Amino acid sequence: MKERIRNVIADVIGTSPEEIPLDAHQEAVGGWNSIRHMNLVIALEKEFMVRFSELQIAEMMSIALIEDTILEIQGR
Amino acid sequence: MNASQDFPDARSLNRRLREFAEPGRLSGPTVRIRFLRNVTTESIDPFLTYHMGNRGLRVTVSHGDFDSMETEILSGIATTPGESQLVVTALTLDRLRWGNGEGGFDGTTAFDYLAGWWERILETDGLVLAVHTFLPAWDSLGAEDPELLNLNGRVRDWTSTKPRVILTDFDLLARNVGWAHSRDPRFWYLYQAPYQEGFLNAWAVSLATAMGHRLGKSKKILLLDCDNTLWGGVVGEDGLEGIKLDASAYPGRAWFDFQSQVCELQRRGVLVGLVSKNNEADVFEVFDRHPAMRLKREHLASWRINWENKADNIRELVNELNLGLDSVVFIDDSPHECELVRGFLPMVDVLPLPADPWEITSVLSVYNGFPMRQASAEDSRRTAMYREESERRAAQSQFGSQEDYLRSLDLRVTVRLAGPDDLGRVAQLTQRTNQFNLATNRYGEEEIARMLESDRDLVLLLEVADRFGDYGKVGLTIVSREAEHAVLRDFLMSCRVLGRRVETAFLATTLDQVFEKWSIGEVRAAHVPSEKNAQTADFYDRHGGDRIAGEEGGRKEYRFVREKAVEIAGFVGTITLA
Repeated sequence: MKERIRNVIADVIGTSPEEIPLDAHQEAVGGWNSIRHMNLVIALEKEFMVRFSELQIAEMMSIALIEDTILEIQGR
Repeated sequence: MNASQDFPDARSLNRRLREFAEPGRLSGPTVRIRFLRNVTTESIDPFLTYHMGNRGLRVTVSHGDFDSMETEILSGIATTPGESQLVVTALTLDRLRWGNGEGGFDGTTAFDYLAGWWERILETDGLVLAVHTFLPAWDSLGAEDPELLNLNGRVRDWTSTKPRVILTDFDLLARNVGWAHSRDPRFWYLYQAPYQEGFLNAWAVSLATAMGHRLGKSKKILLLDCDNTLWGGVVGEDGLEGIKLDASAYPGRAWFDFQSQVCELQRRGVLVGLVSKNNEADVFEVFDRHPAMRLKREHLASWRINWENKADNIRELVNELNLGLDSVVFIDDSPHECELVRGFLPMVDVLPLPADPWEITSVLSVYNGFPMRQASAEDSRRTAMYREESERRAAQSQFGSQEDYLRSLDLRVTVRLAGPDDLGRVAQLTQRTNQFNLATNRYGEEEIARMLESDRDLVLLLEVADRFGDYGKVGLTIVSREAEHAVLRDFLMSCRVLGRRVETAFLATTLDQVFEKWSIGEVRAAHVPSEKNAQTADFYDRHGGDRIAGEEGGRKEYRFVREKAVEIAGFVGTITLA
């Protein structure tokens, strides 16, 4: 799942997945700014068929946190 | 078609955007876009780059600071002159500080405030301003608020009188896209970003379409397949009685409606042609004898009905009409043919027709590459003019020499001062003419109106007729008076009348007028190379212009003097009404 998330991030910020470490935090990934974060949220919602709350959106600032959030929603 | 299902998201756009970055992929000018805004608008950038790129336009986009529209206008940051400069005001009522006093929100006050600033932006020459109607504020009670309707009505009225203003009707956009895809309260409260991707996409389409038309990137001709496109079924197999086409009963009604759309485009000046794999006689039997054919032979500018490759046919047909391939839209029901044309001719807009009859009218109702405006007299005659051109070519083959042929045409040229009634056509000529256009300056109606009023500017229109018909207003010269000499700023002619020495007569007459009217001995002119005007590169050299300056960025300057008259061919009858 981490890799699937990473592919979405790479598409959204226009880079290749290899450029993004799986344990990366938002600040460490060039191009992952707040504008791109909105695009990312929409893309993740389409990819994983979920809908995030505004608090989740504000918090999911790493691949690990995104994974946790999606699993939490799916497990509900 | 459900518009909300059919927009590209920012993720899928990135791949296409990399294609646009390839050298030589985009032929058009760069549009510089500045957002003056009180909300987050940066998310629109990929959509703008994409839709402008689809029209051959490069873009640079920048966004001003929040709530600083007024200071940016006052300091002149936002107002660089030029037709490819686009200023977009992007405002939500929530964050506006006016019209929201003790008495509540007041549409009239809000409009007066906005229009005042918009007018100031328009004081800068040439630039294009994009405004929008307003969505209800988040803290309002909704879209039916009479003061909101009042504001939006005023915005619509105001923009309809301003040729350099683009209106994006947010109200209409939100309805088309669907409210659920227009705004996202999560992003609004987190990032002050009110608009969702579906809405941003539609907004970008509206801006790109309008700029495309202004910068001469409109499509000019619609080429159609026949079987299963103009009617249901295959005429060669099903026969005249067997094809599906009916003014009232479904499914034939669907093709009848599609044809009505095509006829309406034709009436507005879009050329229509056929590129189809059939026997020509079968197709024209349908045209001549089927009672429900809305499209008639006389609507067609040209056709290629044979069994050859469609890409070759399109290339040939477009050549014959003296158009560019990037002005073509092609519609076919066959995915195979669509793919082939896309592959060979990437600059053609290919629109596949859906297989379900009930869906086919959606194609032209959502497509926006054609100029969307009211028909002018020239528009409704355009097909006839292109048809007459084909007849002229047939006549040409019967004559021994080019000169004999031209003599037989009985050419009549009229050069006259443009007047207020010509504003629309004059602006249209400057915007549409690419190939025979010496300097390729584009003007809006407002600028032309100013020239007509000024006694330092001379705007001359060319009208041409011959024994086959009337070409209408097909050429334009604009001359400005300086202290010691005059400057022929613009010389342009529609390609339909080229090669008949009319261009020579027009130049000679224009120069005579200037020498005469202003008692001036010298007229200067320049050739400015563009993507498409290579055929005019030596026009002034061939007509007695003396080069006066070295080439600068390809630009060549010339001098014409009174003593050295340009000779008009004897067979061109010239009348001057200036």
